[in-house]
Amino acid sequence: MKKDINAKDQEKSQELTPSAAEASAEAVKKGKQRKRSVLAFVVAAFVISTVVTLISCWSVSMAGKMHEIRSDSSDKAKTVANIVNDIYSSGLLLAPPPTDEPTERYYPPLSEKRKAMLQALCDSFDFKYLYLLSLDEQKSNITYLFVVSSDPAMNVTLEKERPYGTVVHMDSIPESMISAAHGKINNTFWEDDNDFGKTYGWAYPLVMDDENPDECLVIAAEFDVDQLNGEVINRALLMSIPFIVILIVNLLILLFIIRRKILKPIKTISTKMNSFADGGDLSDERLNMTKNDEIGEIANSFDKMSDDIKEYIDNINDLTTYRVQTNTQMEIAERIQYGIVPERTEISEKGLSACAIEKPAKLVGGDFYDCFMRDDTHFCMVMGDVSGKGITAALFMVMVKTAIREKLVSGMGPADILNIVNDEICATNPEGLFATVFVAELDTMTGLLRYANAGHTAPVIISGKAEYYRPDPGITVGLFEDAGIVEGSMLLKPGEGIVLYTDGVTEAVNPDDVFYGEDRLLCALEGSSGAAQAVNALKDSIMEFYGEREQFDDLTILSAFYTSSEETLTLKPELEEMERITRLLRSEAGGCRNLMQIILACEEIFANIVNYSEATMSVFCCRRLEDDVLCVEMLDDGIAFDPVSAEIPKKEFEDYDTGGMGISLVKQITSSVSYKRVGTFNVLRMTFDLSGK
Amino acid sequence: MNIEKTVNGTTAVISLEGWLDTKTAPELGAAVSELPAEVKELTLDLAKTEYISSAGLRQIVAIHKKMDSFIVKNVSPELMEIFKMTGINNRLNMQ
Repeated sequence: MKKDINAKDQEKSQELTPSAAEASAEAVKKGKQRKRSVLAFVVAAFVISTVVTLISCWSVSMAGKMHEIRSDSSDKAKTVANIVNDIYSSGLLLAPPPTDEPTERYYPPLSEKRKAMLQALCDSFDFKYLYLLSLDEQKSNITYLFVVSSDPAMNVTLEKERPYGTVVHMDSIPESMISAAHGKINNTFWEDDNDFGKTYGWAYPLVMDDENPDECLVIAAEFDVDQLNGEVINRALLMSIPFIVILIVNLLILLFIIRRKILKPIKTISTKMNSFADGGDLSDERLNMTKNDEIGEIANSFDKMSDDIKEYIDNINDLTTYRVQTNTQMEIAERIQYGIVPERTEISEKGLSACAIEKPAKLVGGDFYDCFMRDDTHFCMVMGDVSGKGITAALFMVMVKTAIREKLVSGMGPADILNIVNDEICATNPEGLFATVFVAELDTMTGLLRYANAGHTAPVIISGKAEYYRPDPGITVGLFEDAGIVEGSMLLKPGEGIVLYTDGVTEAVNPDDVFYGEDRLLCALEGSSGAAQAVNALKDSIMEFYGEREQFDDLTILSAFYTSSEETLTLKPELEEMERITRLLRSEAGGCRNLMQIILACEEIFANIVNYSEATMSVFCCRRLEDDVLCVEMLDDGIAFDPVSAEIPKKEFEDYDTGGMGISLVKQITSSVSYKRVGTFNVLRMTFDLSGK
Repeated sequence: MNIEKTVNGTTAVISLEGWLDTKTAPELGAAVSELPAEVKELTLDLAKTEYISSAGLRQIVAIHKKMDSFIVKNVSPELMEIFKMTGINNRLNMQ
């Protein structure tokens, strides 16, 4: 049993190993995943925060820049306006107009030198373009007086595209330009997106005539959007660096806090859980965290769980130990049962062949049989079925079997045995157990079968063909006191046999839920001529009948055959038959000094049977039990007469002629003589000492 | 069983050869009854008798009661044992 358990454990552990490995691999994977997830969380937070910071910094710096431009532009514009004004008012521009068209004021083109100065101005003020124009609101035309750019290459283009006096029609003139033409300063920007690039424009009035302050030239400056944006981005980047640094520091602090406050305790818990799962030392699996937060709560729950599991495991261990003990006990019970009821018994003696098998369905069954030679010439057989299964049934079975055997050995008759055993069991049977038992004793010399039945299934008699023999069924042992079980008897002829079995035979069920039944049983036994043959035939038939179905009830069969023997004579009740007896005795005990006396004893008995018993038949059998012991049994079916204990009146010599000497002679000649009445038969048994007395 | 009878006036000799058992004992009885009525002395010769059973013994006792003088002779040791078992040898004239 121990071995088995270890083997099972090993199997179990082998089963566990791969899954445990998988589990730990999974755990490692999960650990990586967890770390990755934290990292991803941090990176995502960083990216989002950075983007948000950048966007906010950009918009802040953009707004700042625009404001700056706006606030600067007044000063710049004033400066530029003054310079342009100076240029025009310095008289350098006093030249005749290029057209004949009369104008009140004439603004001549600028000299290259001036243009260069204005270009430098443009560059230093971060303008992309700087130009002077006059506005014709009615025609929605503007006339360029000059256009300069901070970009020298662009200036070359502008020479061609926007020379002095270029008139350009505009679909809509920016608001601030109109305001400027009327001498008002409007700090709004307009946006241009044309061949000259993407720009923000701004206008400022250039008062040329103090008498008409609302008729002004317009000086306009345009800022390069791309450059502006570049500047804004640079500034935003510069501005966001401290934010990002602070952000990183914050995140690091957060990560540290998360690690310390959440990840580390979680890792501790998961490590404990893993060691728990791996079946590590369970005595020290408490976390005992004193934290007063959610993690602390989890830890407390874990501690509680681990305590509970420890308790469960202890319980399971106890149960397992108990179970192992029970199994061991069951196995011992099984071994004891096998010792008490062997799987197979075969006995072959003069006049007898016997065979019995027991095939229990479960560990310990309730069926039992017993068969043994009580003495040289008597074969005892017991077939029983105890109620229930398991240890209780086994103990009860042992009790019944032992009680019966003990009484069989003492030579008690079957019915007496069952009645006494029944009373014994009834007296001490708190569990209310009961058993059906069939007890029989076969005289292997005469073939006389004595039996008694206590509620057991009817036996089968085989005499070429198989037939049920249904004696008084009797009452199951253990149920009622004074069961009143009666004895029966029958005479087997040589070659005839009896088969005992339990209900596991007739109640065997095949895969189609059909009972084996009595007819199949008779069929299987038909034609059997020996005990082993009968038992094997029946067993094979049942096992075949079971087919693939599991045997669910014990299978117990016992058979005994009275085998033909030359030492046995079946006689008619006639004196002439004495010759056969004499012949047989001569062949069995020829050469013995007291052969005549033996014949004499047998004749006295046989003469009695013939003359007084009214018997219809008689059986004579003699057998050497040992070298110098001859046993003779004489059976008849006449009226009961016990010559051994019959009181013979003391006769005078003169009265001897009326008999009375025969029995006395028998008693003197035999070593032992005994009589019993079995059912309807008289059985006389004599033994002779052949060594000669 | 062969029975040989020799009658000489009031005496007679009967010799038995074979088995004197239950079956043959009545033959001895019959043979004695058939003797002439004047025979009062009988000698039973058992020299060739191999076997005797209680029926034979009974017959011998009956003859003993019937005859004035009855002698049993030539009893083999085996048969003598049986006579002794019953004790009738003490009452019979055995030679």
